[in-house]
Formats: sequence, C-alpha cells, structure tokens
Amino acid sequence: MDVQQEVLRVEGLKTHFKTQDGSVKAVDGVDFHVNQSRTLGIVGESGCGKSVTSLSIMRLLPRNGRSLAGRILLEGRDLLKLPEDEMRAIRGDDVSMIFQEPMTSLNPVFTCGEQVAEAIRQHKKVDDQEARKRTVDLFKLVGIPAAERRVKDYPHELSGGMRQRVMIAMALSCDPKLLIADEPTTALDVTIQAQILELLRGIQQQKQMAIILITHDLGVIAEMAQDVIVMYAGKVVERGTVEQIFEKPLHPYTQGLLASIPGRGTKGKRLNVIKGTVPHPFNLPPGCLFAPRCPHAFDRCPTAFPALMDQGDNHTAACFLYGEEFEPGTEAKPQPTEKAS
Amino acid sequence: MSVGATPAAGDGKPLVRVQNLVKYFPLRGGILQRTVAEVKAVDDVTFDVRAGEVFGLVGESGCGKTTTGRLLLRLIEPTSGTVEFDGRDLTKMKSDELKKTRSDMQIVFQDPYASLNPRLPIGEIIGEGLSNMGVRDRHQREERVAAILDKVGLRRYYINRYPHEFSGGQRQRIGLARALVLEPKFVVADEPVSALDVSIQSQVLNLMADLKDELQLTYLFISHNLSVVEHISDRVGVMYLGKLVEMSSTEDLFKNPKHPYTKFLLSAIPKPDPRQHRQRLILSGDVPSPINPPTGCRFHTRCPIAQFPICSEQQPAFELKSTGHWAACHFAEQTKELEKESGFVAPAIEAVDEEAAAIGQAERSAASEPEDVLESELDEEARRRSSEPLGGE
Ligand SMILES: Nc1ncnc2c1ncn2[C@@H]1O[C@H](COP(=O)(O)OP(=O)(O)OP(=O)(O)O)[C@@H](O)[C@H]1O
Ligand SMILES: Nc1ncnc2c1ncn2[C@@H]1O[C@H](COP(=O)(O)OP(=O)(O)OP(=O)(O)O)[C@@H](O)[C@H]1O
Ligand code: SF4
Ligand code: SF4
Ligand SMILES: [Mg+2]
Ligand SMILES: [Mg+2]
Repeated sequence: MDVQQEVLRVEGLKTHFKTQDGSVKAVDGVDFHVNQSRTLGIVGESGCGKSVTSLSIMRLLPRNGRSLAGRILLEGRDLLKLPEDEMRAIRGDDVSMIFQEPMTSLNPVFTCGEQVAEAIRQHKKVDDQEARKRTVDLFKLVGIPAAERRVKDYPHELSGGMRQRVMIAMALSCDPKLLIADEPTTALDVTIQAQILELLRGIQQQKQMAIILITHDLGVIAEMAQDVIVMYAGKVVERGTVEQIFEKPLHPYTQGLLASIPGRGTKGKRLNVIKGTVPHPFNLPPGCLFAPRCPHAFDRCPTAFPALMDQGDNHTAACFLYGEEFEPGTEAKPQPTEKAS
Repeated sequence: MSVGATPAAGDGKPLVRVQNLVKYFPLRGGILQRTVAEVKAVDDVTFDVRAGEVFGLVGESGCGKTTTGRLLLRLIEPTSGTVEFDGRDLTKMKSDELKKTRSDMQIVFQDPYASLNPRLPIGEIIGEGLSNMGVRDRHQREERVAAILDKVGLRRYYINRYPHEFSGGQRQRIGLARALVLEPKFVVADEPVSALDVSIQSQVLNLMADLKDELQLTYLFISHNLSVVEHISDRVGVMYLGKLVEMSSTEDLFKNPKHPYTKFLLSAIPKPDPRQHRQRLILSGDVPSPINPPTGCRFHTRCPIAQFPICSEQQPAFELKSTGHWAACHFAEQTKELEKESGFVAPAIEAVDEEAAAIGQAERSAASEPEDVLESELDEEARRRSSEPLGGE
C-alpha cells in the first residue's frame, strides 16, 4: 500500500439533499482511499448512500444535492474545488463511471460505435478514422464478438450483457486511472455477471486501474475487492481488507449482514435476521444510527455517533464495543442548545 | 420425452402433476396482425410438485419460470399439456370448478410495489379474495384478515393503511397475507425476495418457512438466486430456454450437477468467501432467442462438451440418471471425460484455464454450425475472442 500508488482519497465527505420535507443527509462523513490496481468495494443496503458517494466523486449530483464538506483528492487534486470545465476534462478521462442500467445511459438514436467514438474524440485529439479504429479495438477488448459489425448496432439491438460491455468500452475509452462501477451487474443474470466481472478483473490487471465497485451483493465484493467499506445510513461503519471484513467482521451490522446470507450452510435452518429496517432519512435515531436494530446496543449507544476506531492493521469500526471515541458534534442533546456556539 | 414413469413418480404423493406442458406466445405483425412467429416460452415440461415440499425453479431471465408458474395456476391457458391439481386436471375444468379449486392455489409476486393496488387499504387488498370466494359477512372477513396479519407479523391496526406507507419487506408480507388468507394448499412464489435487501430477505424467507410448517403449505419457489433456492428448497428444477434440463433433490443438484448448464450456473454464483478464489467456469455468449431456439439440445450452441452432430440434431430426453435425479443431456454420464477432452475443466491457475477454455471453444466452433442468432455470423477468430475476456492484446 505505497502512498504514491494512491489514486483517490475521500475525506470527511458530506453530501446532503434539500427536499420539501427537509434535508436528507445521504452521505454524512465518509472517508476512504483507493490505490492503483486495487478494487475498493462499497457495500450496504438500499438507500445507504453508495450511489450518492459515487455521484459526488463525479460531481454529477442532481440539482438539489450538494457536497458541503470534505475533500475528494484525485492524485492530490481536490475535485470539489475545480471549476466545472476542468472537472469536465477529468470526467471520462481520468475517472469514468458505469451504471447499473446500461440502457438508460446509452443514447437510443445513435449506434453503439458512434457513441464510443464520440467519447474518444471528446478527450483525445484524433481524427474520425482513428476514433473508429480505436472503437473497434475497445469492443474487442471488452469481448464483444464480431466487433466490426457490432459497432453499427443500436443499443436496443444488443442484449443486456452486451450493452454493459459497450458501457465498459466507453468508460475505458480514455484509459481512466479510476473506474467507478455502480452495481454494474445487478441487472444481469449470474452467468453474464460472471463474464462481466471476469472482464473487469482482466482489464484492471492490464491497465492497472483503480476500481470502486459498488454493490449490495456481498458475494460479488468477496470475489472482486481487496478493500471494503461497509456503509449504513450515510456513514461508513466499518473499513478493512476483504479478509478482515469477511473473516473477522467487527461491526454488529456487518456481522448481521454476513450472517443473513442464505446458502449451503443454512439449509433447513433459520436465517439470521437483522430486526427492523433501515431508518428513514427524516427520522434518524440519536447516537449510533444502528442502535434500534443492534443486538448489542447498550446505554452508551444512543448518546453519540461512534468514531471509526482502528482495531489494528487498519481494520476500523464505528462502534462503542471497541472504544469510547465518538464523532464530534454528534452528541445527542437533551435540549436544543445547538445554536449556542 | 421420457417413457414410462414421470419425473418424481414413486416417492411422495404429488400435489401438482405437470405433464408435457407447452406455452407458445404468438407474435403478431403486419397490418393484419397475423401470427408471424411464436415465443416458445415453455416447451414440453414435465414434473411433479409433492405435497408438503418446496420445489425450487431456477434459470436465467426469460427461460420460462414465470410462465410455468402462471400455467400451473391456469392464470394463462397452455398451448398443450396438462396440469393436475390434487388428482384433477385443471386444464379441463369449467369456470365454476376452477374457481373453487383456485382458492387452494395462490401466487405471490416479485414486485411488492407494483402488485398491490395503491388505492386500497391493505385490509381490503387482503380481504378481496375472501369476498370473491363468497365470504360476505364483513365482520367475519375482518376477523380473518386480522388473523392472517398476525401470522405474517404485521400489526392488526395497519388494516386501514395504504401500501405506500409500508417498506418493501412489509409489502411482501402483505402479498403473503393476501395469498394465504384463503388458506391455500399450494402457493406459487414468483421471485418473492428478489427485490429485497439481504437483511429483509432473511426475515421474509424465515417467515415463509414458518408459515409453510404451520399451514402445511406446498410451494413452487421461483427464483434466479441460486443461494436462496438452495436454502429453502427440497427439490430443484433447472430451466433453460423453455425446457427443464435438470431436476433432483437440492442436495444432489448442488453437489452432483449432471447437466453442463447447471454446472455453469452453480459456478457463476459469487461466494461470500474471499479466500475461495475458485476456478470459475465462464459461459460464453448469450441465451439464444426463444422464438427460434437451437435445434437438438437447446444448449448446444454454448455447451463446451457438445458432440456433433448428435447434440445439434437430437433432442436429449429428460430422463432419470440416478435415484431421483433427472437430466436432459445425451452425455450426462460422460461429462467428466468429455470435459477433460475439451479442456473444459482446467488446472487450478486462472490464466491457464482461460487458455484451455478458449481452445475448447475454438474446437467446438470448428465442429459445429451454431444456430444462435448472435453467434451465427461470427468467424472462428471472433468466437475465440468472445471466450477470451482479455482480448489478448
Ligand atoms: N435527488 C435526491 N433528493 C433527495 N434525496 C435523495 C436524492 N437522491 C438520493 N437521495 C437519498 O439519498 C439516500 C442515499 O441514496 P443512494 O442512491 O446513494 O443509495 P444507494 O446506497 O445507492 O442505494 P441503492 O442500493 O438502492 O442503489 C437515500 O435515502 C435517497 O433517498
Ligand atoms: N405475454 C407474453 N407474450 C409474449 N411473450 C411472452 C409473454 N410472457 C412471456 N413471454 C416471453 O416468454 C419467455 C419466458 O418468459 P418468463 O417471464 O416466463 O421468463 P422468466 O424465466 O420468468 O424470466 P425472468 O427471470 O426475467 O422473470 C420470454 O422470452 C418472454 O419474453
Ligand atoms: S455503537 Fe452500540 S448500537 Fe451501535 S453498533 Fe455498536 S453496539 Fe451496536
Ligand atoms: S446434450 Fe449435448 S449440447 Fe446438450 S448439454 Fe448435453 S452435451 Fe451439451
Ligand atoms: Mg445506488
Ligand atoms: Mg419471471
């Protein structure tokens, strides 16, 4: 884990949304970093802030959303401070993203080849012919059969798996240093998922990319990631290597998630259950956000949000079972004295 | 088709008996809206669901799972074939008898959002079936709705609330309550937990298991998630392009899969164990179109051990291969040898495996005339590439 290999570092990121009913703290203090040739998995249940984290990095938030605190350092440059035109140059060039539903991210009226060629022309000074040639090469790289012919197809003429390959081709068109893949295989069948994951792994080796892989599927994380963060309700609750997270999970939420996966070992048995549901963004509990569902909750838990505490070997968890530290400013206040300072 | 005994005959009393079931959906076109083609959604499927068991039905998108489930309840009419429920042929029933039988058979849908009428309070959604079955007394109806709400773990006072006020997991409980209020014997659960997060999924799976024991239910459990199916099912059927290709006890299927397609499916499941970086078998290409499925064995365009011309010319029968274990493959007994021959199973190093798989691919493509629409246009070089995710550059 050389420091110079670090591609992206996110520190204290907060992204909130303004809505009619109040503010949604979709991402509320998130820290992580990704190194060259490595994959960081972000795992957590629906609504915990995985997509908002990636959209914040790309600076592609919807209008009502804003990153109000923190730094997003791409090789040392803070993306949050860049003017929009510089950010546009970075998007697709240094950092690319692939989304869950390739159909909505491809334009239906242009052929797949035209769209990839256009992406190349936007970032590289090449003529049409060269762009077209590179497009065919990219299609081959991502394993699209009969690439010369497939570039002339419209998105609807391809299967879901092939469309996702086109998206990956587009994302790779400028040799990004960082690829963000937000649920890249969730809409696909398992056999096609296996093809796409294999493809991503191969390309990463070849190009030494850093990858952020977002998924709610712990199996996909275990197979693809070297480093993992677990998110819950907008916060990182645990961070470690994939072995640490799967073999020695510290946070009760991570433990609960891992124990609720069905499969061979659970046949004929009751599955572990995490009681209750994820809290509504307008109705967050005081202190540790997991407390109402946590089997180990004790009197300290509702008093403040626990800080991420290192338990050795950079394996960190935000839980009072492992220490007393809490995030400053998250203390539950008995009376509204918050505007005092 | 198999001769003599039907799959599953002999042990355990069948509650639902499906024989040579076929469903073709017509595709219309032109100004006259004539049938121009047919989608062969379910094509000659035979199996039993035994009383008291959970029968899991797996397979990839579009292979015909939902269509099979709907045919079993006669929510759609079969093109041919029969479905017997409790010894009576559903496909020949007149509407009166069918209506009566229907209260014994219910369905739970995948999407807990789309399947509940947003304008009705959940008490009415759940009670609707009761009024249809002639429970006219309002008080009696409410009593039964309240009782089933208890069973699925929802509070009685929710009865007047609307679906949008509930979370995904709660809505799926409402869907279960609606299905179970009529006290059915048989429930088709079509992807009942696919839209749920893992922590909620486990709540609903436990609930389904409890209710099954308590109410002595039989489930047809449809899912594309093999881990979920392994957890809950007693027996499993695997579908590919409208055909049942394998069926056996869950344990046997997951330990000793006999059909090459099943092996791929099992190998594709991502395992939540980072140390187990297994040798993965990657199936190349896409599922061919059900409008014009491959001749012979429908899997032959992707099968690494396909032997030609037999596999592209002769449909393999769905036969008993060992006790309680059915498969439709000409070479189910010889898969091991053929796999070795074709380089399908390779040494434990990934890179080597890719190469070996690629060679296997090239070999079979040289030997075959692929029917797959997408792949039929490919030259050998492109086929080789498609099986080589790295492209080799
Ligand atoms: N435009 C928006 N306005 C208001 N709230 C939003 C907006 N976009 C997202 N949110 C909220 O932000 C939170 C985090 O959403 P996000 O999409 O990051 O979740 P996720 O972890 O990606 O979930 P999923 O697994 O369902 O994709 C959610 O509570 C969501 O409702
Ligand atoms: N009403 C219909 N008209 C025409 N074709 C149909 C109809 N219903 C289903 N089909 C087609 O029949 C085939 C089988 O569909 P089915 O819904 O049974 O698949 P499935 O296995 O349930 O897939 P999924 O996992 O995506 O739910 C598909 O090719 C589908 O497009
Ligand atoms: S801080 Fe308390 S409530 Fe939160 S996860 Fe730890 S033990 Fe559970
Ligand atoms: S019958 Fe032939 S093509 Fe079909 S699965 Fe068996 S070996 Fe493969
Ligand atoms: Mg998301
Ligand atoms: Mg279906």
